Amino acid sequence: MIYALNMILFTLGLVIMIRESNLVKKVIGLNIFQSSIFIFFILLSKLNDSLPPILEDYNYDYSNPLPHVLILTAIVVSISTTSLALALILNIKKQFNTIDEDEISKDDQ
Amino acid sequence: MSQIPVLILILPLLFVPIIILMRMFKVSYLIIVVSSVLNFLLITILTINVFTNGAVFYELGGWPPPIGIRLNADMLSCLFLMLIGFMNLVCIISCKEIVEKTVSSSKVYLFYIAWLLCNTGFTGIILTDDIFNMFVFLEISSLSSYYLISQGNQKKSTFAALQYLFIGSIGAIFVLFAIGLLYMITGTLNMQDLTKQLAVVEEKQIILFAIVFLLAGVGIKSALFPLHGWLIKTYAYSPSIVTTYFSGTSTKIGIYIFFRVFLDILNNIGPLTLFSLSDILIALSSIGVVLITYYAIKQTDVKKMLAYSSVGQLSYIFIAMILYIPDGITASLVHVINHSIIKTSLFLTLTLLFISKKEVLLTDLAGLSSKQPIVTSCFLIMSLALVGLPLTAGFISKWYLILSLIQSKYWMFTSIVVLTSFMTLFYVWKMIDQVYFKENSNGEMFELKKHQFIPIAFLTLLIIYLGIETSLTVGVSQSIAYDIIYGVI
Repeated sequence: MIYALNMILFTLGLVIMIRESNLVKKVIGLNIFQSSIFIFFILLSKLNDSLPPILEDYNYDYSNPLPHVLILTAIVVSISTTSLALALILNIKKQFNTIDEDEISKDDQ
Repeated sequence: MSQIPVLILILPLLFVPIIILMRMFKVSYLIIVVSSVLNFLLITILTINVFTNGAVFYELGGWPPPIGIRLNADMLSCLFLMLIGFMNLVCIISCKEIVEKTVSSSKVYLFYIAWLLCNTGFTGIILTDDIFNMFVFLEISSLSSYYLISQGNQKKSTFAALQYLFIGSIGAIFVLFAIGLLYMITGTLNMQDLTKQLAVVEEKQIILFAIVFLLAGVGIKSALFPLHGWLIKTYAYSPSIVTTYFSGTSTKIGIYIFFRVFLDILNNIGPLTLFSLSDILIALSSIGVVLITYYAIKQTDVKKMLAYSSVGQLSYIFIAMILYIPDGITASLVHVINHSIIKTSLFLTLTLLFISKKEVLLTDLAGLSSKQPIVTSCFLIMSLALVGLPLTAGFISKWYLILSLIQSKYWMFTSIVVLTSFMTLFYVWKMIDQVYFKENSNGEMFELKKHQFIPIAFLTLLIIYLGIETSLTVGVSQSIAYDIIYGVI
């Protein structure tokens, strides 16, 4: 069920990236798209009724900590991608005076 | 000796903060030259060692493989390391004047930092044995390459960089998703362990799902036929020295990931005839080659023409790889090496000839032969190598490609490869025609200095040498091909 919802998020992000011509909206779409994969990784690690993986004296089911760590790295990557994209958009705004993809392409001809 | 793989990765990362602290563009160029030379020396020592004593491993933090990350330098990685190290060195040595002309002097040190990081990312992808680590290095190299592309001196450079950022991020996320799926069914991230685990996995559908995403993700990175759009734009709009560098390295890294991860997994879904994924891929690439070569003939911008030509050649590499027979893998590896050298030398010649020009049209080449006779003959040899004329490097790889296609009894694809080789002659002829038989009308001078001639001549000699003396490239590629197919790697 959650996996299905997550896939909706995945498709939504991708559709936003393809359909929108506003560059900032595309970045937002990219973020939604990336988040869906992050949630997918977190879902992988969860067992039914599992507790956080903290070392205790007694035995219990704990969720797999590895995907969390992986996603921490992936989030850092995603932040740097977003900031670089926004910086590039600032430069584009200076050069073309617009952040609409269609208008920039029109400017070419 | 076992420390060398990690040194190759760490040394450039140590040089980055030094450049940031210095901030002077003259010193930063010196540092990056030192770094590249050191990098290449270390790679050479490592390669000699690997070819005499066998693979070198380094366990990061002392954790053994299934848990920890291991750096793995075997013959396949050393081949690609040599290629990347060599291309990096050639481009760095010849880039000083070009960078000073295209990038504003206050930003030069940032440009070199991005370059260094990009190269580190590439070497990291090659060396690592852990697929998640591979994703991280992929992103390091991609992020810095977006910056490098945005530094072009054309109006649309920033926009091209942003478009590449969007499509590259989608590709990276697809790869990440595939890694997640593979981790879900095997519980491991180590490549060797993954291959072992996948052989016993029941859920073949999930593997297939992972393959499709991996194919799409890495396909974007290596500009396979339907996913090649970004390559044309970035090659046309990025600074020409960056184009030179990327033409030999960036897409080849995608091919490396295919070799390292994809082939193993593809063969683990049991019989390849499941619904004959490989046949579909070969057919798609063949259609791609024909279309792309047609587009290349139509171009008037030389950079775009060569970019289209790159996509076509990458399709050859991909077809040869997916055949999965020893000769095919050999052909593919040899073509990776030869095409990198040929394309880099072509772009380098154009870059050095037209340092401050924004776009190079076909007509700009007119009258080159009377002004620069020696460079013109080098250019002629490079162009003919691109077509695949005997006695040049391009011939060897085409020969093996056609041989392997005949061995696999793909007659139609064989004829397509032969046909497109002739079509290549058309667009190469369009360049040669301008160079030799047209008069220079606008009276522009070509800005080539004496010392810049050295790398061009060296690469030309290399192309001829690799076309005559094949034991080096073909011998190494053959032994790697047998290793891949009979399951040592």
